[in-house]
Amino acid sequence: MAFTKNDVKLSGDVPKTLLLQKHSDYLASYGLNKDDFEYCMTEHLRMSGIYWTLTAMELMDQSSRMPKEEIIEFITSCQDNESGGISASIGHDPHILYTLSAVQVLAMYDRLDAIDVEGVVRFVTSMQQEDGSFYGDKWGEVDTRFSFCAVMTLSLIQRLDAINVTKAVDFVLSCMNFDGGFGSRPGSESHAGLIYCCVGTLSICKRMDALHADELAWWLCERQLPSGGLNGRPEKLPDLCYSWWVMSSLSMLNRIHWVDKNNLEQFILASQDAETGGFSDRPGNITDPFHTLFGLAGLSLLGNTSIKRVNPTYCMPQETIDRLKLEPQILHI
Amino acid sequence: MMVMVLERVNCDQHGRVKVRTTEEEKARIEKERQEKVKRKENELDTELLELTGKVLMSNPDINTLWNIRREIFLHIRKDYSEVELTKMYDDELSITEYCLKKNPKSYCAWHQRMWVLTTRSDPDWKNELDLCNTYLKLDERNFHTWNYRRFVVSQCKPPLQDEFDYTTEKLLDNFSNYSAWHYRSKMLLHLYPDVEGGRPIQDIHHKHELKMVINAAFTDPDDTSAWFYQRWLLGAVKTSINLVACAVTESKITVAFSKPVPLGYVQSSTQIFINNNVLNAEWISCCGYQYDSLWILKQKVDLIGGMDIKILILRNNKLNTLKGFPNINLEKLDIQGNDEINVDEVEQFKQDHKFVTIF
Repeated sequence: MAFTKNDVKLSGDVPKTLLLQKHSDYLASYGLNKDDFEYCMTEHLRMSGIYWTLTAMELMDQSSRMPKEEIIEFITSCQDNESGGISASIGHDPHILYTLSAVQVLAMYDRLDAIDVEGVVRFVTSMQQEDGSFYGDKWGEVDTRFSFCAVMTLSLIQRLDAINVTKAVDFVLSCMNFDGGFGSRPGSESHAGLIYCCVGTLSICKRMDALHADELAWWLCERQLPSGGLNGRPEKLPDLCYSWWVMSSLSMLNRIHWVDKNNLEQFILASQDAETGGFSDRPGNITDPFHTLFGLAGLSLLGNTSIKRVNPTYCMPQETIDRLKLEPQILHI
Repeated sequence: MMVMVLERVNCDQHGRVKVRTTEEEKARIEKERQEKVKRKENELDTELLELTGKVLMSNPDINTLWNIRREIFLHIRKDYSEVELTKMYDDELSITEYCLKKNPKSYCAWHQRMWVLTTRSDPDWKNELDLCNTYLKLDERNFHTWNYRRFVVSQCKPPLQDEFDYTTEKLLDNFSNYSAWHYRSKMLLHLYPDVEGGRPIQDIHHKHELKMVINAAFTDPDDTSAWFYQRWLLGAVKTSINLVACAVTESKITVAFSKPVPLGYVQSSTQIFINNNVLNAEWISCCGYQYDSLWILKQKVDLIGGMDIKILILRNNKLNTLKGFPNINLEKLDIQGNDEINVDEVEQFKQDHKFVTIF
């Protein structure tokens, strides 16, 4: 474990048990008031917001509390006929981030028929560049997040063959660093979130062999701090969402036992808000659907049986991945 | 989805203490709503530039608004003089700077800056490098700034030695700067790669780097940054692909490599001869993967005493012949790590695998 000055201390009165009902109530009421400031300010990432919320609800077996038909209709109306891509919200431009979120939501609902799937294939393939990398949209930003979005989107609709997978993998591997980790572009510093994206890409493309598993897992498990929480890079503060980025990566590497699970569980539970429901990035901060999903998903990886099993590659319920007959690769040794 | 985390990091989701919504902020949303109406009327003009600019300065992460601005620039630039264009692009850089002061981790604002610099005809890269220096003084770990720095360096191509020296300067300022250690590793691989030996970098520089690590460790032994760097210096050894074991049974021949290799490698590097006849069966991955350590050649072999089995493998571009399958003995099997050999097990093993050789 890292000795660090950047950490938090858990006070005595933090939640120590999982408050499932609170979280379900919190998410069910989130967005009911469409004029709420918070809701308006996050319109530009609405589609991902729906993915976070629905997945969290699915994991708690509470998705019936979500307005299913309204969501599906919304997604249909966010698809751009010309490019085939999907936007975060009506009136916004299509982007690979929201195309993935939309496909994930529809995959969970088993309603991929609600969009023009061939349009999605057209959009995603048009984003791949000569070097194997992916743009996020037509404006040319390159990031390994987008590589992951591309392969995950296409695999969910069984069309991974539509892109050059070998080149996609080669680009991701060109982002590997001295510590075995990955950054957002070749030369970029390792970051747990991007490591998740790159390991996830290799998991879907079945090229986990290309990783330096021990070096990478060592770097990942060193993210744990005395508080039990995980940070995303050395000498940074812990943040609940890294319970997902780090732990899902370690799960794919089959080395989840390299962190202190009990300590991490305490940190995750302490990040709940007992009044409002939901999870925040650190104990005592304001909650949001994003951290609520990753708190629950993290607990699922840790083996909490009151939450459904989550798939470490897709961050979706394992039952959905099984239904789609997807088999992302997990390292055996 | 989860990939959004990184974008989300910028959108005030992290480290927020509970605060009340203000009327002022509500007004901003109203403005944002107006933007969309505007665009539908297709008014790609300077007025829209001003409006989107105002909204972005309060929330720089609305990607679509930056898209609108780029569309406007591309649309109106033919009507502008060089001087006017210079002013327009300079103003845009000022807006991104304002946004980055508000949110130094805004993907959108950083990307807009890259777009402006690569779109205008008169980019001032020196100024951009100075901007990176300034921002890295304010936050030495902002990976967006470091990414932007790499972009600027890739465009204006300063001597890489300067960049290497910059990491030295940053590290002497604070050994705990993991971003600088990282960048340093990249610079070293460019400047002084070790083409011959097994180390990542040339010996003389390797020694110098180890000294840096010792300095760092003495300064702050609890900091992990230098330790990761040291692990790289000492641990990164180029590994070559070796054939490590081969087993022949009646129905198949199995070979094991020291690391996963693709089908193409096996086909082009490995040939198996029985009594000087080459086997031409198809290689199959043991686990069904594209890259695998274990490869199987499905081939019926009549195992009889005194047969000549050999493997021809291409190793380091040299052909090596490996022989000796029929000469299997207990000592050979011992290499598998069985310190105490159970004779019965060995007999069984020998029956299952008529010929086994471990290289």
